[in-house]
Amino acid sequence: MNFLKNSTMKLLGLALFLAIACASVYAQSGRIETSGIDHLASRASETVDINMDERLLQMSARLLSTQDQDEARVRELISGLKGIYVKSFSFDHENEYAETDVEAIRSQLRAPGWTRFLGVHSRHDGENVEVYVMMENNLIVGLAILDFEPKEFTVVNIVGPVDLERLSRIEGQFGVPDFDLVRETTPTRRNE
Amino acid sequence: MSDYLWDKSGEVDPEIEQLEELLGTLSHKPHAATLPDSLLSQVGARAFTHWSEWAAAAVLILMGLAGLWIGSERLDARAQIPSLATQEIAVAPVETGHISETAREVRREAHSHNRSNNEIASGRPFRRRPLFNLYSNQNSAQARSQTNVPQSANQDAVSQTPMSVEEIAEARRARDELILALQVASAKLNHAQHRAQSLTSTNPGLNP
Repeated sequence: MNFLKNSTMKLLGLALFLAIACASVYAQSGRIETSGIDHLASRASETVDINMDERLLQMSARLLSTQDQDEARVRELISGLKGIYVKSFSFDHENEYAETDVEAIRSQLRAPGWTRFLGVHSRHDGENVEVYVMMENNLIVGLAILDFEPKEFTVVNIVGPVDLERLSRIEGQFGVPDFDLVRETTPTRRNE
Repeated sequence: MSDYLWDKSGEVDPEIEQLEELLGTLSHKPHAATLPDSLLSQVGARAFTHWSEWAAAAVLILMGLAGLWIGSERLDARAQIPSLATQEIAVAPVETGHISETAREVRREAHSHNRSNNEIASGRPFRRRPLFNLYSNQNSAQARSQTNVPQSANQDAVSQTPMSVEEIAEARRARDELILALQVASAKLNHAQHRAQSLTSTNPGLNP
């Protein structure tokens, strides 16, 4: 009986270890799992769901010009990236997502390697903006931006070495005057 | 020493014979040992404990199969790239400042087809920047006419390496989504920075 118990416990322990190892490898890659919030799409009035892996990034880079200034900047920015994942849900009414949905994302960012770079919580308008980075040898190898507003739920995850300064300059380029997901704009940084 | 004790020869020693009879009951018997009834009743419960073993084994097997499946999917995806590259299209030579309308139509059609398929698959329309393609095409066309560049940079990129129609369509869709994703990321990052800056300006003592 002891042998049976021991062998069962060993097997379960091994399975648990493998599961944790798989999860930690996933977490260490800078990628966060967002499939847990897919159900919000059924309640959202507008949805942005972009999953770009390394292959798609390389493929799109082939069509980016080296002569056009804007596209050249994007080309530089995405070189070395392993993936860009965006999920953004806009709702007609408030309270369409639960705290568990937020926790499903936040809990992953408490894993070793992730650091909260910036966090703004406004009780006044109910907005929470958080920026997390994963560092490796003083280099950002993962970025996660969470924006939880009463009528919006956005998760951005960039995997790979990303230059935050360059990324912040992308907004407002490509002849698009404004991006309506953001209420406040940055006129000084536009069209640099 | 008595020979009987050594090899059972010679005169029989009665004491040794008596000891042999007494201890003979404990000698080796060539048949399987039987478990006592108390232990047998406990073994009956073993079948009930089996489920946990089977569950653990099943988890391990499933994890192994999942690993194999993921690995094979990646290999398949990699294998598809060279097969796509073999489906080359013949691009007719274009005159300076002009792009083959036929090729452009084919790509546009493939592009819209892919996009609508994705929208159907997701169940909701993707939110995209309006008229981005038209905008960028107009910009590049203007730049071309002003600088007398024979082809747009995109066309250069396309013509440098042979791409199939499907690849071009997929690359265009990927480029559009990449631009959109980067704009969302950039906007959100700037938004977060502004919120933090506005917080520190209104509360100088805070350090978010």
